[in-house]
Amino acid sequence: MTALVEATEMVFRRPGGYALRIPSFSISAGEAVAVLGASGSGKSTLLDLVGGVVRPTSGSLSLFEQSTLDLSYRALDRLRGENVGVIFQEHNLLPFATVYQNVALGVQFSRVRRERVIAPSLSEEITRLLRAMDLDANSLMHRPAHTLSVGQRQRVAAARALLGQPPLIIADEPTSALDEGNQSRFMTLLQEARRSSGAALLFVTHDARLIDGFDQIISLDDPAPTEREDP
Amino acid sequence: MMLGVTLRSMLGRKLSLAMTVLTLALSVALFMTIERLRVAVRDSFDGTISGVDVLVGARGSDLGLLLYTAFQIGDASPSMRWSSFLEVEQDDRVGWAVPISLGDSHRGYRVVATTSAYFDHVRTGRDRPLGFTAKNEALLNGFGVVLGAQVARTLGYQIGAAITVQHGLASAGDSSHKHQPFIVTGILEPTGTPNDYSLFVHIRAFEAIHEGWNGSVPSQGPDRHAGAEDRLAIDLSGPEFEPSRMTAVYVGLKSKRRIFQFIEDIEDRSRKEPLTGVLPGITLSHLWVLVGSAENALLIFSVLIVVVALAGQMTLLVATQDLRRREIAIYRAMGAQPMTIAGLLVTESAVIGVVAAVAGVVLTLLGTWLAGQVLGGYLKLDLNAFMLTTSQAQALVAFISVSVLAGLIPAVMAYRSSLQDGMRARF
Repeated sequence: MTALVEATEMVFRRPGGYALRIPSFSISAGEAVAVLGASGSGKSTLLDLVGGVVRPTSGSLSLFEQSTLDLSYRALDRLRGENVGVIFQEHNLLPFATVYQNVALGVQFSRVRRERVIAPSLSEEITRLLRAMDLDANSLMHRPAHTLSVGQRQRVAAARALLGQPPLIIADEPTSALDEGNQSRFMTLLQEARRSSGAALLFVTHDARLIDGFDQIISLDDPAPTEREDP
Repeated sequence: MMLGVTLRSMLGRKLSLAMTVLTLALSVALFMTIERLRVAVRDSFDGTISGVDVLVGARGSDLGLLLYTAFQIGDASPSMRWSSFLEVEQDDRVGWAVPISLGDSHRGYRVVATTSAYFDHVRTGRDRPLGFTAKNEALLNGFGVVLGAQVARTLGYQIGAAITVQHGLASAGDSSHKHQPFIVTGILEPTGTPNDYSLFVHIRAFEAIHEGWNGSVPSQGPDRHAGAEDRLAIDLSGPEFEPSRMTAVYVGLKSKRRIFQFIEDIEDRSRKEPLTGVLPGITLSHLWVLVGSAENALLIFSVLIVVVALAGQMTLLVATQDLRRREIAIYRAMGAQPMTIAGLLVTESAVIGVVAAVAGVVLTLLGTWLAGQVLGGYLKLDLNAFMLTTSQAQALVAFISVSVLAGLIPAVMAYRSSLQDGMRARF
């Protein structure tokens, strides 16, 4: 199976700061990978590396079969725009923009991703994804994002991450602001939607209760990733 | 769609942005209004007596004579003898000569005593003859009076109305010649010059109402109880109505080549009455030199206000940078490059600049209209017709360009912080 992400003995050193050692791992197409780690363990830095915002100081990182060391930051930005959907912990949406505009932002900076939109029109595709995330597209589409509940906002962000069928979704503790019932609902919807689109998921969390159903777990507290066997 | 998102982002900060746009628009309006006033003043001065070759008056200051006679500004010039006017008129080199006598007024507007030749020879603007919006054949016959456009409009006079004039420039109360009414016989088209704010009567009628005037004793004058039509038919050609003194003479020469010799002769001290000959264009150019530094100071002052407003715009954009880091982080996560982020900030500056420029023009229109209503009569300027001049259009383009440049510093800051923050805004 093609590895979307291939990290080998990666070290990231901040100027004048600490060195973060990341265990070797790879993410294949369609795979769900959870990253577990306490605060300060380097989860966010790992996301920056996989997102191509920073490059490893040593070791190697290959994204979509291209070594990050061979790519300029401009090329890495383009690679991210084309291939990665991102869901933040919170503040995912532009509060002043409508739900439609927020979701459409997912394909705004990449022509390639825009061309991958499935439905006949962008509007129909956004409607489809919002419904996939159990949102009433008709009533929400033109509402400003700041009028949504926290749970709705996270699901809109998930719809945006899925727009244009990126092969990899990065989620940075997207459930941390949700209550338990909404956490479970969000995880179910996200997993179903990304499975149907065939996207891999790199899910960062400090909550071990959320890692059920993941194919691989990377613990940043351990020196090596833990492979999970399918039940 | 990005422009739509940028505009929505701006709407999300509408209060602070509106204040910035208002500040910028006011500074643009101030700059343009000052420029409009400057142009209007110059146009008005340059165009008031464009057909006159030489202005002749009693010995005195060139500028004082010109300002008082043509623009009705400053202290009254000494008067000259009527006999001197006749000498000038009969000079072989003179094509035409129009006498001017000032001193009376009607409800705050100057009365210019002259002859019908004034309307034939005096030009305004770029050699445009004086036209009438309404007139009857009498014009300055008898006690006829021709009104400037603004006088007729403001006071609501029509052809046939009877009006009286008074001594000096008192705007109300003093009816020195109330028994000697004039009948409105013509209304001039607007000229944008002091003509609009003047009333024109025949110099002999002017003499007639002052006949017998002695200090505060009212004039008796001829046929003072005659009806309107009769007053236009009154014959004032008699020697008793020939004025003895007057203010100045507008002269048109047959050949411009002899203009300096003519002035030399006029100013010859051996004459019975030494006079002053003024070349209006040259004297006005001296005036512009005198007021030029004040104009420049005013212009520099208004430009500085624009600069301060632009600095305010930059300050606002820099101050809101921190609040916008989340927004920028979202764009970065979607694949936006740092240069794209910087471009968004510059676009925002351009939008602010364009909106402020348009609002500034609207405020200028409003401001000049208000100034025209409130100050037009006082300044004797036509401020209602606002045309965007080439220099003003260039200034607007420069303003928008600098406004875009003012967005560069926040754009560079956004570029750098987006590199540091990556996909996450750190708070």
